[in-house]
Amino acid sequence: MRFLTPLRRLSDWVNQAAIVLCVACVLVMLGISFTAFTYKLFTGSSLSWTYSLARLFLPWIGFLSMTISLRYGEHVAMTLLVRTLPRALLKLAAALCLGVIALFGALLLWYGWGYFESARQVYMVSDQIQVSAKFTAVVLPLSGAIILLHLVQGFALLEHFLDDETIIEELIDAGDGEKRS
Amino acid sequence: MMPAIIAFVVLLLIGTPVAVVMALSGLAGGFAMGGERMLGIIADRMFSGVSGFMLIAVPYFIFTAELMNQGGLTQKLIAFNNALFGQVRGALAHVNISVSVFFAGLTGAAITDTVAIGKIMIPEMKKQGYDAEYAAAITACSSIIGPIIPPSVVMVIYATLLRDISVIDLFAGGIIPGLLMAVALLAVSFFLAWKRGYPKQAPTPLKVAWVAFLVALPAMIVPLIILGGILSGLTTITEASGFAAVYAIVIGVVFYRNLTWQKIWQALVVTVRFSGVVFFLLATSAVLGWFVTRSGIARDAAGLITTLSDSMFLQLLLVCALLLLIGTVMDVLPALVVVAPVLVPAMVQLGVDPLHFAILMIVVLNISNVTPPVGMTLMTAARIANVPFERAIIASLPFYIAFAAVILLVVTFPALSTWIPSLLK
Repeated sequence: MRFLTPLRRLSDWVNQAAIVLCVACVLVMLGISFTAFTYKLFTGSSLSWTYSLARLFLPWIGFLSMTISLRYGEHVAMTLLVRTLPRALLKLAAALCLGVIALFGALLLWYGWGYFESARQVYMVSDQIQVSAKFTAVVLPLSGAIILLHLVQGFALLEHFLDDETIIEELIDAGDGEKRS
Repeated sequence: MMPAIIAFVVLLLIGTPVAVVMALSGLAGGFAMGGERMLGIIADRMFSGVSGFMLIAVPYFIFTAELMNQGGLTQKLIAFNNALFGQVRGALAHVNISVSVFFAGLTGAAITDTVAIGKIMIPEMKKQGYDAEYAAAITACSSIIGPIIPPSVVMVIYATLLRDISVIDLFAGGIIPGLLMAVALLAVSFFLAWKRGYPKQAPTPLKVAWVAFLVALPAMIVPLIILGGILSGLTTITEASGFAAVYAIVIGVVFYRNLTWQKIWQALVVTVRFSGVVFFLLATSAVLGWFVTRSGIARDAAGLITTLSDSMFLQLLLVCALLLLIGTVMDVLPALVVVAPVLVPAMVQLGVDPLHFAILMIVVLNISNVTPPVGMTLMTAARIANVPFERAIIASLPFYIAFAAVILLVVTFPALSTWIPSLLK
């Protein structure tokens, strides 16, 4: 399984890049919303382009943050019953889960690419600013590909082998503002 | 319909992420209805599931709450509330509840409240002679007020899922039931404090109380900014939440002076990670919702409910029992995105007011967050208090009774959730 090591490194790197890009999108969107708010506060009228522009970042934040939460195993799953199974069956269930996530990632990549290719409309942010729908649609196949890449992390993506104590410890640590890998 | 149900149950039982379960079971249903060409809806539905304009507010709310957490707001709120209740018997228990009410407006997430408040209050309560399990129980039970008193991320998500209900109505509708829960908890806490002889604290000098109030004030007005702006119609939810986030940075850096760049970055990272959980559920619930709408499951569910009873009161109670059951094994958000597309149209078809049902659903699902066997909020509080989960459950029993009374009131009197929204019309 030595070939997995560089792939895992790539998965970590892509995840860090996704975090930075996602944070950048949040900050740009926040800047636009704040501009809209202050403009309204001081002039009493609204800037028409702010809504449409801020909205363009939402699919990017939505889909990229999904891959981030999946990478950290922070997605919500019902593992209460499965964790009562014997170790061998638990491993089988976890392997099946990874297969199911792979299927989901592949479907998102395949049909997301089709969605991207067929996205022909143009968002009219304002008379001057027009953005192709491909700018937002491309995030679908991209996130599908990232999900498939993260699968190289194996069982680390799942909660199957974590007990409640560990999950709660992590929650409390996160409350402390401690950095988690 | 059968392939979707089988896929849903099997995938859920093997521990697949709930978001993936919703997408694939929706697709399985679609495939059974129309073959391979139906699979393409995954892209279209997921994209529209995260594109609702109102969802811009979700990362802003999470970011604001995280900034407040990182900025050490909890201590300031506790100091102020301590000044309010200090001389009353069992003061720290009441402080725990009242801080949750103030905190509710900031975080809108029960588990965040539990960790932030519990880590300060539980050790202090233990030190002053309160039972550890009681400290855990009251921290967890009061923290579930968070998603009910606005602003609340859960309500934003509900309004996105069920597009025929406005987030303003939900925010306004949550105020009375949320306060009712706080009053019910305070009543139990006063009774137990008197019965068990919990300690009073030394009176707080007026000057100290005034300073505590002034220090906490800049943070306490954050929910007022958000709510005031939205309910008055002055701002949209996205503008108000965006302003609140910028305001939280400014007071953290300039006024409290404990928000460093590193903490702001940390808050941003937590924001995108938690946003991911929310958006993942929302995107894939749109796939399942698409199938639910076409399959007629909601109509069948409505039919099933009417066969159980003709009385709307009993129908609502039955649905509450079902929600409590679902909530015992599932967290609030996934439970909401899974059941709302089926239950809400069914109940509206039976003549229940959509707003009344929305608030009832949010209240009940949040209450189930502190009930066994999952009850993640209570588990977290028990861990902080270092007591077995079972003992925390037993200590929570009086609060469960209080919650049952609140559920009964909200079921019986729809006006509790619809009166304030009606004033805004």
